[in-house]
Amino acid sequence: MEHSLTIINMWISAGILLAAYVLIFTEKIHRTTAAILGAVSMTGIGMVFGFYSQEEALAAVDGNTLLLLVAMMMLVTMLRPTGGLEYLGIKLAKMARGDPRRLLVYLCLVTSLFSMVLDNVTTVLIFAPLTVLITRILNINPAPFLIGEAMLSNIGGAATLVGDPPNIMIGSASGLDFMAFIVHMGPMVVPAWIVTISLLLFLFRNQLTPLAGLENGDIDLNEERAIKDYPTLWRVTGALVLTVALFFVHHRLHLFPAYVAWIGVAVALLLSTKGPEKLLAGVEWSVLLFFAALFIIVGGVESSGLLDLIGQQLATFAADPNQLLLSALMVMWAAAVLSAIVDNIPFTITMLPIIAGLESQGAHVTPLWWALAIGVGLGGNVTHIGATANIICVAESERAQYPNSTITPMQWLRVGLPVLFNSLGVVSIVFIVFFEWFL
Amino acid sequence: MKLVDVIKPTGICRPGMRVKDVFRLCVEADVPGIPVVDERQQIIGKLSIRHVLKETCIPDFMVKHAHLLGDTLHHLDISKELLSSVLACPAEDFILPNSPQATSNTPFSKALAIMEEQDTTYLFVVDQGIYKGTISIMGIAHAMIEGT
Repeated sequence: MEHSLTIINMWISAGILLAAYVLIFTEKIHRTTAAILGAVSMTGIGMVFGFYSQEEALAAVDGNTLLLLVAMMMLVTMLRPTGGLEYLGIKLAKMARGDPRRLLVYLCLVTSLFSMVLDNVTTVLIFAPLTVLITRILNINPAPFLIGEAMLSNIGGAATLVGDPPNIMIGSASGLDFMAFIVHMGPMVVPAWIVTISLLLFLFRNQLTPLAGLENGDIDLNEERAIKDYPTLWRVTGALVLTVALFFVHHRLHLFPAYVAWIGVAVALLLSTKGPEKLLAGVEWSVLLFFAALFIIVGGVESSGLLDLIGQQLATFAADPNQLLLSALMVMWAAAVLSAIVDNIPFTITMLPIIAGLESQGAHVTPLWWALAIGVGLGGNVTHIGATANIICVAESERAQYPNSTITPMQWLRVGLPVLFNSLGVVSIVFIVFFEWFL
Repeated sequence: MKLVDVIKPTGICRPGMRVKDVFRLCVEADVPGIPVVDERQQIIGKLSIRHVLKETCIPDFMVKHAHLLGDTLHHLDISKELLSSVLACPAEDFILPNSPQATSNTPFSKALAIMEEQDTTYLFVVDQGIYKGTISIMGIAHAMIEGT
């Protein structure tokens, strides 16, 4: 009797999860609204059927992830209006001396580096309009640059614990620290970066030639005027440098990444003359609520016992040391393919308890975490809607007012597919050859 | 000083008009925009010179970085061909549905408050559905100078 009740609960929780995910992915209503509806339904129905309680729903929300995201959003909100990133962008563009290939590499490199610490959306929101302006001044098509910046921002974000929301979630669920991410994701991200930029240079070779008369690359933009607030720029940069430095040693100091980020916010606020109200307005509450609601939905499915059951089925395969590499590769490719089609956050949040559960079944799950992180990180590059950064770049291309600058879904796919298969192929080879490194 | 003293009669944008016709009406009356009416003479919005220029002549990427731009970016300048094509566009392509309005009896303070709230420098004066003219911040300033 009890067994059949458990089965019913599993079906109910799976049904609610499925319904919520269909609403989220089809975008019939706003994804946060859909997730909140799902979370409320899961908790309410779970209480009625006795497989989920309000206490369990609250406990399912990963405070470490959400607090880390809030703190990083606040730091970015402080940094963004200072104009420091625009200054760097213009400096690099001038260093390229009108060579579009060099310009592509420089802009993509700076976008990747900032995406390792700041969120990808912010980085792209700053660099995409600036890129359009620079390319229009040079009279070259901005589309290759925008595609490149979005893709390499996604790849850069995959390198660190704080570069991408999925990584923050994976770090929190697995207990893997900032240094562990750099050391293990770095050897995968660097070759993926090189492969991607090489492919972009090859695929866009016809569009990356300067027009006659503009080879000198004079870019009549005054980068000095980009910096609107020097004191704030230095203060926030100082706080950000302190935060990143603390990230490198947070595990040695036994500090949570979220706590480290809040140290940065506290220092920045202390040094800043501005109050916290403006910073709070810059926090993307809708995104945070979306994540919190997803945690509650998946918590309900976990509480019903369904994820344990899935874990048990997978454990027979994953717990076998001889099958571990294959399991990790399967997670990596499945994560990439699914992230290419649907939002990678719901997929990541669903996978967290499954992989964590495998550990309790005796499987060695560390390689699975790395595989999941790189898979969801690279998967977003395939389609124009695979990541928010992509959508921003497409919108910017539509506003560029340059012949053939608008990036169509097919155009993105024609670049995204070879980029995914080549970068994931190289990453898989690295993973196979140096598998012991990822254990 | 009464609102009725600063009302400036202007032309109206009617169905079928081109941007060029509307710009001419604005220039003749020295106002930044005029009301748009439908076939039943009902005001359905406004056409503003600034909005037309913003939509057609200044790309977003230039607006966002206006403070960075140098003075030698001539190849990004507005071409004669573009200006001609904009003037030839149907006016209905640029209708703004929001047209802040007042009546002849509206106090100055309220009219100014509406302008601030709507982030505009002019209002249409409409009495019982009939368009009387436009009041603008320049007209008010003019009346203030004359009145003192």
